[in-house]
Amino acid sequence: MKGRRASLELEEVSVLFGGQTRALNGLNLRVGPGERVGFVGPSGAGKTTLLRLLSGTQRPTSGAVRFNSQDIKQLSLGQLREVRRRIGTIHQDLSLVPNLRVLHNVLAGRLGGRSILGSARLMLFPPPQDVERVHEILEMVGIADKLYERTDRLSGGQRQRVAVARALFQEPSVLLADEPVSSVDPARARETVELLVDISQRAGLTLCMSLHNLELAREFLPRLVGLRDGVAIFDRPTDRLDDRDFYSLYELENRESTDVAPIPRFRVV
Amino acid sequence: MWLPSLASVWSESAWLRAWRSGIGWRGLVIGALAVAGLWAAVVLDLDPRDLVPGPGGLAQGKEFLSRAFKPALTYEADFVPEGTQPLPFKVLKAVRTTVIFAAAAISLAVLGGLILGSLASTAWWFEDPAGGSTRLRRVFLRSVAPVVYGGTRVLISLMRSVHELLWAVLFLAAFGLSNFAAVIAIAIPYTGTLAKVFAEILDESPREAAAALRAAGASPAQVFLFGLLPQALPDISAYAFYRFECALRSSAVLGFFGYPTLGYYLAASFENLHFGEVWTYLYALIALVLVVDWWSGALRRRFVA
Ligand SMILES: Nc1ncnc2c1ncn2[C@@H]1O[C@H](COP(=O)(O)OP(=O)(O)O)[C@@H](O)[C@H]1O
Ligand SMILES: [Mg+2]
Repeated sequence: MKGRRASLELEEVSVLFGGQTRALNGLNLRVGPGERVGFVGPSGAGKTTLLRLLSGTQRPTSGAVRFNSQDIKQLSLGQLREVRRRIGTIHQDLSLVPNLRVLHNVLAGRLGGRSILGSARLMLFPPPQDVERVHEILEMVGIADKLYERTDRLSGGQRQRVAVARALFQEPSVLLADEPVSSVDPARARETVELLVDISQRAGLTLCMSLHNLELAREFLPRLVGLRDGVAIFDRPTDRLDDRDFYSLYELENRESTDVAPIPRFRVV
Repeated sequence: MWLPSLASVWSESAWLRAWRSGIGWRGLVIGALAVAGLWAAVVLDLDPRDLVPGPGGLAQGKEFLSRAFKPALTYEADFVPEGTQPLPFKVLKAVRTTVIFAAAAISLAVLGGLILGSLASTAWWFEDPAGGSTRLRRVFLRSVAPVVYGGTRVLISLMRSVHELLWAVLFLAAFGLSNFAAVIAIAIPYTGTLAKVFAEILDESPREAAAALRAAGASPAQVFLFGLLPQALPDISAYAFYRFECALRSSAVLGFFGYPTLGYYLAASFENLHFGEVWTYLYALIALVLVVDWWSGALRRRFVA
């Protein structure tokens, strides 16, 4: 997987939904090959939209999104698919096919670039070495015994591991994860973040992860981008961020109009 | 004279009040339906007394019903030629032909329904918000997609709007008593119905998994086959099985036109007033439908639950 490293870049990117909702506003961002970055900020800040831009599934209203210095807007559909193949995403809602087995959900990660016949063969009669590889990855994420289980029979935490496994089986250069711990208990959350960071580090993957949990973000990610109302409030190495930065991310609006001191909506650690 | 007084009672505000207090659209629709029903009854000259049978009819009806508990196991005719196979064999043969006609028709219809239903589903063209260099794709989405989609919808409606018995009459006139024509007569409207329902099932299937596969670089065909179709398949097969039951009934009824299915023998026995045999054939048909119902239920439990 090394040698297939990739960089991502946003230049003055804005995203408008329905001509009025400004999800992102003039964002600049560069994530170098093998870098690990966390996106933090309140709900509605634009984290999901940012990750969708980076995965080439959201078109910027203005500005440029670049994958390895190629502007995604300039790509043909085939080239865009090629770029998407190199980006593995763990979606917030997991986006698995519930009535397929774990094996098939993971295999589906590597459909890109195959002919219809080739993909039918992969899904219906998977070659032993592919099954072997899926098994290896499931072992790595800790659910090897679920290979032939139907996905909707698994717990939330196990399903999330399937989503991680699908992204890894894709053998991407970039790993994107949208709130990968929103659906699991705290102990599991820690494990999952640690796993994603560890894998990215070992394989030299570029990792971008949005996280609600500031504690985990500060512990595991060397660089954090704070988003609020579609604007980056900060973008710095984590060791140069302090509690006040995070406070400004979540502080209440219209502070001037209130007499009493604002009560933070989130306990900042 | 009463008009002005009515107008004063039902002043504008009174109308509005009545409307707000619940006459509303629902009331209007119910009222319109009641009026339409009455009008239809008057136009058609419907008279409940028509339902009272004459004395001959009454006796025949009684006899027919009385045979419900005594279906025939042997022929009721006074003269049965030497070498005629026993009645149960004949019934089984009729059942077999009925099943074969229905199975052939439903196989064709499922195949056609999957193809047309996929084309008539919007799932293919659900928006790709990134879309790359999209000029070609935009042209495609604005011109080709609506033509394919709309054209398929029209074709489906045409197939559906003519009943299988009418298709059978048409084909009978054109090709004579051909088995293939009978199968096609059932298959055409069934293809239309299956396609319409398959398209709706596909359109209502969750699209998150499909979007995820697309985000991983899969082509639209792959997204459709492996992200969307698997989730729609349980409903699709359940509906196909239900339509197979319907096809069995259609196949039986085609016998009235001379095809060797249950309907053919049923009609013959009825005309000869052999009511016991009629019941035997009816029970065979009911048993057939029940067996298919049980079978589809068992398959569903195995694959879906
Ligand atoms: N598809 C969409 N259509 C309309 N508005 C959207 C859409 N996606 C996101 N938004 C809006 O954009 C803003 C940012 O959303 P999102 O990126 O999901 O934030 P986050 O992931 O940080 O919670 C929100 O105001 C949200 O309502
Ligand atoms: Mg989000």
